[in-house]
Amino acid sequence: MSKFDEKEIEKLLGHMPEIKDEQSSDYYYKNIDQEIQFNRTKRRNKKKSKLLPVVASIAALFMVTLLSMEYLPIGNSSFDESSDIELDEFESDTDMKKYANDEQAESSIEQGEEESMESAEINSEDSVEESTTETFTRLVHSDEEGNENLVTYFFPDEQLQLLIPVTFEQQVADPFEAFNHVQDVIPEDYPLNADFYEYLSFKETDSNGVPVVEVDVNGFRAEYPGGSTVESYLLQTVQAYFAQLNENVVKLENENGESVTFSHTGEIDQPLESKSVKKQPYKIIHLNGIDEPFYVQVPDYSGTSIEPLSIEDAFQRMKQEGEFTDAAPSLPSDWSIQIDNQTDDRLYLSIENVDGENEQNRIIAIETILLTAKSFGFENVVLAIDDIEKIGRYPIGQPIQVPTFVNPHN
Amino acid sequence: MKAIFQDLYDRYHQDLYQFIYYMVKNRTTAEDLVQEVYIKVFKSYDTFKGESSPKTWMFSIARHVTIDFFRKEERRQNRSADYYEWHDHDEQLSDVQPLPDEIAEKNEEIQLLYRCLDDCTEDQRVVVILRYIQELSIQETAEVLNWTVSKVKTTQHRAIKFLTKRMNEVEGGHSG
Repeated sequence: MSKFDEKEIEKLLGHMPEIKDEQSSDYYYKNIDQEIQFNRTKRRNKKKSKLLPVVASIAALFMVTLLSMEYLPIGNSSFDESSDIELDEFESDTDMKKYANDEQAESSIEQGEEESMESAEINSEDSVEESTTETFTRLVHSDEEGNENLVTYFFPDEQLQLLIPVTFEQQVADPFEAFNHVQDVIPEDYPLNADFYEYLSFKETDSNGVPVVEVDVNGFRAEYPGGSTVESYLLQTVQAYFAQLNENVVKLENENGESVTFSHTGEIDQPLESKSVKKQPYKIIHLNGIDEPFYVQVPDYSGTSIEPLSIEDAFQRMKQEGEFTDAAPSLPSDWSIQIDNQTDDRLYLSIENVDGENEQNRIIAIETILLTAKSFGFENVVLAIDDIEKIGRYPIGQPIQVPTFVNPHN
Repeated sequence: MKAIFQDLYDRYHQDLYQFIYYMVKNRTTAEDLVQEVYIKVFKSYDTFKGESSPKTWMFSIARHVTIDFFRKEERRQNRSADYYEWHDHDEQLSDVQPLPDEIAEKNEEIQLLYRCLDDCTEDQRVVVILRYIQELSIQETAEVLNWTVSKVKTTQHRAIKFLTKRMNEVEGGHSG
């Protein structure tokens, strides 16, 4: 007879003891203060290490002087200052914003200094970049020539948080068969890990036309023991690949034609829904040894919202630094994007404050806007930007088709 | 800013620390991770939307910080696997940790349950800790995990079922 039943287990769990922290609040405060100060210094040094032209330096110093005078009563930007804020203010959204504003005011001198220097750098860099640097694109549209043999594969990033799509030219014409030939197209020293594909192979389509993928479970387990995250990304790799081929489900089988069982996920005895990440923003990510950034869709890891994301929120998130992933903003923070209108398949946007950016950053912004719009189900986007007729190859004021492929290799 | 920190500390620190501790089962790691939570909170509170309470928001950040820690551990173990032959053992960091005093002082059943938590999936473990040890409601747990309420309920049900089975196995001497 069993000693424990479910009620007993629940009761025992309720009696698990409190685990007290042996450290003091001062210990944490000191460490956190140091860490935040260190990060700020690091940021500042990084920016200052670039060579500033003399004129830009003078302009920056002038701005710093002005800002310093304006904010003189606030003092410096130490984490330890401004302790006179009411404590109850952390209870609501509005109040959280107040803290944010306090923080912004507190560090305004530093930010003012950084921003003025930064803008001086950007302006001086722009004049060089625009005259000497060619721009690049990371999108392929359906009307472009030579895109018949393109296949997009998905690879996890180093942190195992994002799936990075990369499009290769593939000699294998059948897109299902092409799943088994990633190693034919990916260069040896490519900075993305294609190892997952070694444990996966497209086998056949079953009598209902559902693709069947064979998983080398034993090989995978031996190489990646005890990792639910790794298991999850193996499955997501399959899901993303077949989702782009408009397959709704995909079957998984082991070497013996039986259902697949993973250490953490357990048995998968039902066809896997092949899903791509819908309605999430695209940002950029840098890979080792490749200058141009890649575009990547970034799910919300902040946990701050459980509601479906609106496209306005998606654009907003494209401006934000990622706290939880290596992805970086793809939209300049000062761009103002307004949704003028939308139909089932078309999105109309007005964009302001684009003057400060160089052509390449504008292209990145427009291309990630197109990708994000595509993830929300739009087929084309009409942009309104004052005094600009074209950004890269994208005409302003006319419908722009959302792309077919992203991140083409070479 | 110290006042803000102190307020957060007074309100949430014990809960956050305990949550992280039960996840990682190591005091030093829990201290490092809870510190990281505060840093992330201060870095990102201007993006806090107020759609969840500060408490569930901080727990959510704590969860991501621990997930990130496990990922790094996983990668580290994978890299070291050739040397330590972890391939065959599927060991977790927490397995080798001694019992904390608070648990060691309790009866054998509590100690056993504490050990058996390691055998749950990560999802099951986090739900059990949030629901039974941190005493969060189902709705709060769903907000922390960014899950639906029904997913929390299902995972909780499976976790309890699993723990019951596992406890009986171990108690009956079939711990393999």
